[in-house]
Amino acid sequence: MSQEFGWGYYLREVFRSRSGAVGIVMLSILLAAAVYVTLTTPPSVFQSWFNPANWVNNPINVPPTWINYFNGGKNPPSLQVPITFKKIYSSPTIYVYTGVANFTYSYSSYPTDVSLYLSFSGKISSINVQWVKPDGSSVNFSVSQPTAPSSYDAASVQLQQGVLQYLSKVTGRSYTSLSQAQVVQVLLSPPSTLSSNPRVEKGVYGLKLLVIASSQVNFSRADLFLKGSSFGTMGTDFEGRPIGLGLLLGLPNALEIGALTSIASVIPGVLYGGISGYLGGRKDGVMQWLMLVFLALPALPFLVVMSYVLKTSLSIELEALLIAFLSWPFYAIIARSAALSIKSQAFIEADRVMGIPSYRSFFTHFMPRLIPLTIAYTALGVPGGIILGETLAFLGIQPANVVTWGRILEDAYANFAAVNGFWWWVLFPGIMIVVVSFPFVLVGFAIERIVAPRVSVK
Amino acid sequence: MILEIRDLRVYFPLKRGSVKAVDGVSMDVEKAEIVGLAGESGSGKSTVGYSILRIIPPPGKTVGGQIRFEGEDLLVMPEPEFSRRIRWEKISMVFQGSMSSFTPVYTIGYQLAETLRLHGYEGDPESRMVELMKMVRLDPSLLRKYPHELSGGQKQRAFIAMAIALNPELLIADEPTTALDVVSQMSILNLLKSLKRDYGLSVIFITHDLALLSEIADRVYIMYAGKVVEGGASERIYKTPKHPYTKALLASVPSIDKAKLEGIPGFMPDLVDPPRGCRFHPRCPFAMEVCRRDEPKVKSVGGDQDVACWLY
Amino acid sequence: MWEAIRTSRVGSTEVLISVRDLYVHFVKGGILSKRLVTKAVDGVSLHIGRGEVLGLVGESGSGKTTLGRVTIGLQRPTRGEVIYHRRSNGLSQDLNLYSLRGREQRLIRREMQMIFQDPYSSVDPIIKVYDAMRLPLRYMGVKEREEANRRIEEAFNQVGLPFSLVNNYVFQLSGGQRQRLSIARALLFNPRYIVADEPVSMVDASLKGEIINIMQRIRQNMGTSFLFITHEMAVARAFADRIAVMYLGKIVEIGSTDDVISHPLHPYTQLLIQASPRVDPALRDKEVKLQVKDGISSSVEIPRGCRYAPRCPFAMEVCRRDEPPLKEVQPGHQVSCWLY
Repeated sequence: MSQEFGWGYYLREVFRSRSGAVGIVMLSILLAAAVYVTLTTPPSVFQSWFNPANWVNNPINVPPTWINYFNGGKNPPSLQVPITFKKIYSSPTIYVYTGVANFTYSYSSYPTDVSLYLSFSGKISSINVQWVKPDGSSVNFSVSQPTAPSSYDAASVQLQQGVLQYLSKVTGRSYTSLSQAQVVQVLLSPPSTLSSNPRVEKGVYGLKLLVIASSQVNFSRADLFLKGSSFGTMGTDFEGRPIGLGLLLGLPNALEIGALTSIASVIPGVLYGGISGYLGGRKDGVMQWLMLVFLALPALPFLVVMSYVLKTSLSIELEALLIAFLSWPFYAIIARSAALSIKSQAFIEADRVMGIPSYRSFFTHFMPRLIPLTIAYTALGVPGGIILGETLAFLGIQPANVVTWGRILEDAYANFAAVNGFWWWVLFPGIMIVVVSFPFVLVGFAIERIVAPRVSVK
Repeated sequence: MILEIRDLRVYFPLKRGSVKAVDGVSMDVEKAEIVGLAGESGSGKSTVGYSILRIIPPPGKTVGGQIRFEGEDLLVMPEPEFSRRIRWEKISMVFQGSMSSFTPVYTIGYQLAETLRLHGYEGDPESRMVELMKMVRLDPSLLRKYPHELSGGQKQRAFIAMAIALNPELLIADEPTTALDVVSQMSILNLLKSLKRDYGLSVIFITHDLALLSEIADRVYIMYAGKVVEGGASERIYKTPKHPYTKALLASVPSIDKAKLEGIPGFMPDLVDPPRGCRFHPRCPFAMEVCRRDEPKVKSVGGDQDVACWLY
Repeated sequence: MWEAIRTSRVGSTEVLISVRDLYVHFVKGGILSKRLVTKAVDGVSLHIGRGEVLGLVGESGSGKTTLGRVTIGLQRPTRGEVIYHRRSNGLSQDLNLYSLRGREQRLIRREMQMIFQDPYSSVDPIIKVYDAMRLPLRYMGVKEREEANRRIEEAFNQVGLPFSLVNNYVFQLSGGQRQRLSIARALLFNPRYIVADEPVSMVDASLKGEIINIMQRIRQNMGTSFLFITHEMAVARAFADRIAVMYLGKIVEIGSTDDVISHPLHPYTQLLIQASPRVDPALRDKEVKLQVKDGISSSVEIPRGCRYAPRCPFAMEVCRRDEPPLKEVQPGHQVSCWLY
C-alpha cells in the first residue's frame, strides 16, 4: 500500500501519463495565447471586428494564401503597395503633389479587385491617376473633390470611365459598361489580348498620381491594393475579415465561457450530490426528486426561451449560469454515487461511535475524496461548455459585441459558405473548437483515471 | 519427485528499491503429497506459488533459480509452450477469492465447459463435468445454476473442479479457505485429502494458519521475509520445531486446544532493505553476534527436517 | 494461572450491560415488491459483567454483528432493551440505552467503543495517523496539543505501536498495524465496554495472538468489558471468559469457556468445535467427519420449531414442531435444545 494521495502526487501522475502531459502542454499554450491576446490587444481591436470599414481593403470570401502550393498559384495573395508622395510645387493658393508606386505582378490569375485607398487631411481639388502597364500603355482616370478617406476600386465610377476610354482606344470598339472582374482584366492584361482571350500581363506596373490641392495636404495613408483571391493563413469572410484574426479574438472568449460554465455546473453539482449521498435516507430522496425535475427540463428550448427573454442583457456570465442551471445534475449523480460508497465504509460508523458529529465526518472523509473528482470533471466540462456556448452563439443567442466562433459560423451559415465552397470559413472555426476542447479532455481523463479508484478507497 | 524448486529469487523493482519478495527458496514436492507453505503476509509464500505458474503480477520478475517439473525447468520454457502444455494442464491453481472468479452472467456448467473447450479437451465434456462435480462432492445439478445461487463453500469447490478439469499433477492452493466459515473450510480440506488419496493429486497449500496446515500437510515449509527458515516432515515440524520463528508461530496461531496465545513482538522487515545476517534476528529471543552478521544456510538436523539457523 | 483468574471472575462479577428480550427485524420492500423480513436477532437476553469478556460465536448470518451493534447504540432494536449499569463517582445509574437523549446519550456513547473487522476501512486510509487520533480527542474536549500527544502516546504504548508512526498516512500502514491503530483509537476514550467485531478475522493467523494479547492487557489494566464477536471458536477460546453460541438470531448455548469447549452441549457447538483447526499432524490422512446435514439456514425463512433442525443430525419430531427454550443444564451453562 505505498500509493500516495498528496496534491504533488496527483500532478506528477498526470504528467506521467502521456495523454495528461500532452494535454497540459497544449493547455498551457492555449492559455498563454488567450492571456496574451487579452492583455496586448486593445479593446478597439475587438470592436473593430464589427466595423466593416476596417476591412474594406481585404478581398472577401477568399481562401488562405498557402492554397497556392496546392493549385499552382491560381489564387494570388493580395498585394498592398504603398504610395509615396512628394510636394513639387507650393504657393499660397495651390499645392501640387506627385505620388508614385511600383509593383511587380507575376501571378497567372487576376486579382479579384484593384483599389486605391487614400486617407489625408487638407483640401484636394483633383487627383489624376495614371496606371502604367508593363507594355507601356496606361489607363488614366481622375477624381475631383475627394473626401477623406476615400477608396476607389473596380466598381467606382471614375475608374470605370477611365478604363472604358482606354479600352475603346486599344480595341477600337466601344463598350457601355464593364463588370468589376472585367475592369480588373483590362488593367492587368496586354492590350493585344483584350479583344479575344485576355491573359495576365506579368511585369512591372507603375502608378502615378498628380494631386492638386488648395491647402497643405498630409497623406496619412495611401495604398494601392490588389486584392488577390487568397488572404492570410485562414482566408476571409464576407466582409473581408481575416478568419485567423477572428479565431484569435474569439479564443479568450471561448475559454471563458467554457471555464465559467464548467465551474458553475460542476461545483454546485458535486456539492449537491455529495451532500445528498452523505445525508442519505429521506433527505436524499427529496434531493434526488428535486434533481430529477432539473434533469427533465429540455435544454435547448429552455435556453432559447430564456435568451429571448433576456435578449440584450445577456452577458457571458449570465449565459454560463443559464447553462449551469441545466447541467449540474449530471455531476450531482456522479458525486452522489461517490458519496454513497464512502458512506458505506466502516470509518464513517466509527466516527459515530466516537461521538464525532456527522457534519465533521463530511469534511474529514467526503471532501478530500470529492475535491479531486471535482477538478477532474471541471476539466472535462470545459469542452462541453465551449461547444454549448458556440452552439448558442451559432443560433444567435450570444452577448452582443463579442467575437465568438459561433458567430463566425453563424455568418458562414447565413452566407451559404458551405454551398459556395468557402471551406476555410467553416473548417477553421470548427477545428479551433476541437483543438481547444482536446487538451481539457486529455487532462480531465488523466485526472479522472487517477482519482476515480480512490473514491472507494482500499 | 515431481517438483523441485532450487534457489528461487523473485524481485519486484519499485521506485524506492527492489523488493526481494522471494530470495533463495528451495523446496520439493513428491507425487500424491500435500506440501504446506506457511508464513505471514509478505513472507513471499504466495509469490512462490505465482512463480510456479509464471503469473507473477508485474513489475515482479523471476531473477534467479530453477523450477524443475518432471525434469524440465519451467522458468526457461517458452511462454506459448508453457501455456499449452503446463498451465492448467499439468499444474493449476486455486486462489483465495476464487469464488468471485466466476462471472455472474453464466451458469457454473457453462464456465466449466468453457475451460474444457479452451484447452481442447478431447473427451465428452458433459460426462467429464458430471464426473468433476462428483469428485469435488457437489451435486451435478448445480451445474445448471448461476454463481449467486451457490454458497461460498460450494463456489470454492466448483472452482476446484475447474482447476482439476484437465487432470493436473499439481494443484497450488493459495489460501483457499480463508474467506470461508469453519465448516466449509473443513470440508474443503477433506476434499483435498480425498483428491490426494484417490487421484494421486499433489497440492502445495499456501496459508498463514499453521494449525490448519497441520491437519492436511505431509510436509511443511515455513517462510519468513522471502526465505525458507525451516522445512520437513509434518510430524517433525509440529512435534519438534527448531527455528525460533517456527516456535513463535506455533505459539501464536489459534487452535481449539489452546487456552492462551502468544504474540510475536516486532514487525516484518522491509524487503527492500532487509536486515543483515539472519532476517529474523531483530525479533529473535535467541539472537547472537553471528546472527547479526551472516545469513545462516539451510542444513539438515536429521530425520527429514532442515533449518536455517545459527543455533544448529 | 490465567484460566483460574478467568473462572473465578465469572461467579462474582457485577453486570455492566443487560440485554433483555432483544429483537431486531429488518423489513425490506412492502410497497412495490414482496415484503421480506430478516430476523437478524430473534429474542436474545444476556448480560455482560464488569471486566468480563463475553465471546459471541456464530457463522455469518447468525446475527452476532447486529447484536453487537445494538449493545453499543448503533442499531435501534425492534423490541427489547439494552440497559447500561453505569457506575461513576460512587453514583449508580441504570440507563436504558435507547431512551437517552442528546447530551446524555453522547456522554454514554464515549464510554462504549467498537473495534471493527476490516482494518483497511475502519480508519480512513487517506488521512494522517496523527489526525486519525487527534480528531476524536478534540471532540472529547482535549484542546491542548501536549495533552493530546500524551494520550496518543499512551494509547500507542498499549497496542505496541511506535509514536513515530503519527507522521505517516494511514494507508502506509500494514493491516496488522492498522488494526492496532483502530484499537488505540478506541482506547483514547478509556471505555468501560468495547465491542470487538471480528477483530482478528482479517489479520494473519500469527498476528491474531498479538491482537488478542493487546485486548487481554487492556482488560487487565483498565477493567474494560468486551463483547468479543468471532466466527472461530478457537479464537474465542483464547480470550473469552464466557462463550455464547449464536445461530440464526438466537443464543443456542451459553456458558463459561471451559464448560463450552470441554463439554459442548448443543449439536451446533459441537460442530463448530469439530471444524476448528487444531495442531494435530496425525489428522492429515484422515478426513474429519462433520456431524452436519445439508439443510437450509436463512434468517428470512426461519423454519418452524428449532431453527437448527434442518442441519441437525439428531433432530427429532419435537424439534420440528416447537422451539426449545434456553434452560440451565449445569450451573452457569445454558443450552436451547430438546436433547436436554
